[in-house]
Amino acid sequence: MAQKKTAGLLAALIAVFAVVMFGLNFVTGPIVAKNGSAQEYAPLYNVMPDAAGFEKLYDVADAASSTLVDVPETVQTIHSETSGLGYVVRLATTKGYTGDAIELTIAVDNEGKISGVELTAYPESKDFGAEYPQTFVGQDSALSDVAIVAGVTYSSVAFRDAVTDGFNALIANELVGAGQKSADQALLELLPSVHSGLVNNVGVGQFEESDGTGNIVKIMKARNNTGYAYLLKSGDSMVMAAVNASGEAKLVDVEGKDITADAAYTDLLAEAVAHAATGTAPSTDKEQARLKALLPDAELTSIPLTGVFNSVSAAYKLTKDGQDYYGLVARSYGYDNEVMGVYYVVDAQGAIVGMTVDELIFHSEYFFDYTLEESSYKAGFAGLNKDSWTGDQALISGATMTTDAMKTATNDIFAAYEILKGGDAQ
Amino acid sequence: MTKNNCCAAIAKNPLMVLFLSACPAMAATATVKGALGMGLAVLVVMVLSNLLISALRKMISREALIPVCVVVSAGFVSIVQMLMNAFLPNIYQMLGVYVAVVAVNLVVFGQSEAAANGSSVSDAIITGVYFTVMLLVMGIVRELLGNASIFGVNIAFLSNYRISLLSKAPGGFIIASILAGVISKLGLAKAECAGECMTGAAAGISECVCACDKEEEVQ
Repeated sequence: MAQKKTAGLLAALIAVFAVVMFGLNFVTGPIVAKNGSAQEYAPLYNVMPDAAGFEKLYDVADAASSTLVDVPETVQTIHSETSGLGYVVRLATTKGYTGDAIELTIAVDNEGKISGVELTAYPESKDFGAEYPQTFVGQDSALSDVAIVAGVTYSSVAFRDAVTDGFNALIANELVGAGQKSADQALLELLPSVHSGLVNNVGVGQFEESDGTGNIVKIMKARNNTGYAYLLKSGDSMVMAAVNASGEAKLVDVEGKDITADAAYTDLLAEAVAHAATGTAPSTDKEQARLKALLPDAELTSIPLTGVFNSVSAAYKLTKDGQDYYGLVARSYGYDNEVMGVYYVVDAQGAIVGMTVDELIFHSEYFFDYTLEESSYKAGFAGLNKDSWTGDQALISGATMTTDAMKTATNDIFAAYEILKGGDAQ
Repeated sequence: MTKNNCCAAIAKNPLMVLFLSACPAMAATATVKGALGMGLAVLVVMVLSNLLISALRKMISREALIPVCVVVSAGFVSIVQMLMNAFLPNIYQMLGVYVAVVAVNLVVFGQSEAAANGSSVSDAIITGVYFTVMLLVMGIVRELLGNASIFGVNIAFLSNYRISLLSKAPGGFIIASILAGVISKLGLAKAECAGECMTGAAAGISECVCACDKEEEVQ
């Protein structure tokens, strides 16, 4: 009897609590749902606090169901603000220094300008400062007034490129209009493809800048002695000239079209070449000594860098025992954008015979107990040609920028070899 | 606060003297908000459980006491969880699974048993308040020294001196041990008091005669 009474009491208690909770759920359920969506939308309200609400246009987790096209992979979500204030884009890029995701949220108004920016995850080893993201506010897709943070290049370039991706997604789907780039900005963005010797591994210019005279508006002298780039006035527009270390020049317009052979620009080209010729040529003793050390007893003859506009600053023909070799000197940008002199001897079949480097620049923070076996690292390049070279052979664990510099140097000497050898064949 | 009440607040404290509910205490006291949330959750569940069990006291046999206490505690914890999730979502997320653990909290359990034995709801309120006060003390110490903030507001001059270990689980144990040691050193927690109270899961703590009470009687 007592047991029945207990069972009955327990059953009654459970029933009462069940009814109470069932009823309470009608009250709290909608509130919890609203809280959940508020949490999801909190980052969006952080950059667009006056928003009335948001409608999701794109989610990378369910990209197939979105009507948007040509959305870069850095874009995580795109939301449209329901009262017409603009759009909010959440982005994540792994192109920073550490390779972990830098996450950010941008709000773009209907004029195509950034109205809010928030950095939500930053796993990088160096801080680019709280003010850097705020420099994007008010900018359109041209990002004309955004500068890269010195010393934090990889991270700030990754951030800027992610913002560009956000704009590209909106512009490709005609949600906002593209910003107008100035002629000089458009030309400077072409620099990595016109003369890559004047930029580092992430495309940031590495030159000494000065004002020109006559038709030369701006002079950019490469820090690694690979030549010059010039912005020149051409009527109402501008053009860019690139001059390599051998004094050879080429000319491009704002759309990147090669106009070197265009007779209308002959004088401009000559002006640029003349200025470049006034520069002091650096000493070649050290590079010749390095190359001779790689191939002892070889005879060395300097050859012009015809058609070469990259980090290769000098080329030589070496002859030993009746065999011809190419000696190529590349000057890529390593850690802290320090210039790394890398020397290669390449045989007539395009295979590296030997490689040496002035200094593999390391930063102490990367090497607590790790010691690079330099001689075996350098020996690992011997025998590589453009087919067997994958870039992995340049890897120095924990030294991202130095590895990238070695990859750039090696890529550039293979490219220069093909150009120079092709020129020889002709 | 009279000396008697002050003494009782410390000497009868289930957390510091008997180390009951140490697990949720360590988990919830990383921040002051979490400590306050946990303390209030325990207080509300304890009081409501006490009221209901007091009302049903005559219907609960000795054998049925434990299952009834569990069902009542779990029921009120579920209700409190639903309300916290709706109206205090940040604190609810902060406390996580430890809100549900209140259902088998020994302090709550002990008060429920005490209610079945005739204890009044004022004892539940007092015990709950004492428990909350101790959680708050731990929360303040841990957040100030571990996170250089209070109630989520950063304190700039402390930011260079913070001991981040204190905001993690080991830090909770360290702070609890230090507080218990201080209380013991000050002679406020009498061993005989704790011993008398160790009947069941804190059952009878409200009936425990503290040394301070004995002094009052003598006077």
